[in-house]
Amino acid sequence: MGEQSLRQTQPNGSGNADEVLLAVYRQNLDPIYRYIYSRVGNREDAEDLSSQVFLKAVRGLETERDDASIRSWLFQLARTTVADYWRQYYRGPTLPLTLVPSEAPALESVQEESRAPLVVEKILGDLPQNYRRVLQYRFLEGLSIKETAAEMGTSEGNVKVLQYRALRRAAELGGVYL
Amino acid sequence: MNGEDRYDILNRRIEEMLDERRAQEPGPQDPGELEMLKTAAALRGGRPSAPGPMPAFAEALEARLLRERRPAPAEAPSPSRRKLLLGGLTGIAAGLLAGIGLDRAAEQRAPLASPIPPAPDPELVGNSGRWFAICSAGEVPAGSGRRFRKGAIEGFIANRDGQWSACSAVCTHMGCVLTFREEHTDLFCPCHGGQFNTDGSVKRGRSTLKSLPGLRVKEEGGEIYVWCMEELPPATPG
Repeated sequence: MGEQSLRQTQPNGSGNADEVLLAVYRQNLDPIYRYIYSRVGNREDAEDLSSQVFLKAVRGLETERDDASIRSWLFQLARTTVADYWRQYYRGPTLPLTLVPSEAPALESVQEESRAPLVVEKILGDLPQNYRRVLQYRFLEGLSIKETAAEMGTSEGNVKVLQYRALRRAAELGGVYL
Repeated sequence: MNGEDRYDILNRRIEEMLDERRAQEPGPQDPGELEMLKTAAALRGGRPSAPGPMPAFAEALEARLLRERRPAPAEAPSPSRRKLLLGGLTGIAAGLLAGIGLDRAAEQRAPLASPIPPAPDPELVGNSGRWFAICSAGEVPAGSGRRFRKGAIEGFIANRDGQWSACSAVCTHMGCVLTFREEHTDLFCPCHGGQFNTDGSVKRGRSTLKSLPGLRVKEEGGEIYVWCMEELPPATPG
């Protein structure tokens, strides 16, 4: 689509507002949803936050912009929506620096859309093997505690402890990428 | 809370997340725990098989966005009736938006006591909500019900032979708050006389009157809980 504005891409050329909105929505829902999902990790929250982003977008959409800048603007909305989500979820007395919006270092140049797998790789990369394994089984493969215990030849209780410690270590090492 | 409780809470949150569900319990209380949860979310969310939007969700949101563009109803309630409404738009909006939980009914994990009556416009709006405790199950005898106000919701719970249901208690006509009439086992609108059954369906009223949107309800540990949105910000005067 490049530099074309949405008005030019409408078949009847009338720039009907509903058609323009639908075009923006259909072109951008998938990448926006996937980005949000990659930050919140579950479908219910991803659906809620995606809805919030597009509802905000309906009110502020400037259709004279080209597709690329509309997408960029939607991703900005998505970033702040996700930041608000973590801020509202956190119940500590003081706001940690990590909740202050800022770009994560080292991965800034990468497009939002393809960043998630790299984040996973970075987070897991420096972990000891058993920590990496438990996180892979549980979060990447979605195995239950029981299944993970079977894969790792240990008890369910041990898996829970290992999962907790692995996550804590991963957060210490990889938190900067979030 | 001691360390053991936070450990259990975190493990439960992980199970919920892997089950594709939002958090049901309060969030982390220290930065370390927050980072662990963000890391968990990034690992889970960044996995190779991470899904895109479900078609049903995409369609529902599309319809919702188109409705968002339509002009608001032209006629405002007259001042004499306004006092029966909840603080202006907040209450009406809260009542009408109580249909939020409906499209999730099919995926409901906790046992739903009774089928939620269909709402006129099942809508997906991303406001935050949570389970609110209403009362203990024993306080509402079978065949009866109780009005409640929690978060942004004016609602009603009903006990039908041990099966629980919940619905909005804001009249779908003009937004007046309904009164529960024990002797008639119904919800009555003081503005125009509309009547609703305890399951939210229309008992008597003008032909265009729509049934009350259902709310998600569950019974746990002898307590009745309803999923309600948090308090909405005050509407701008208009």
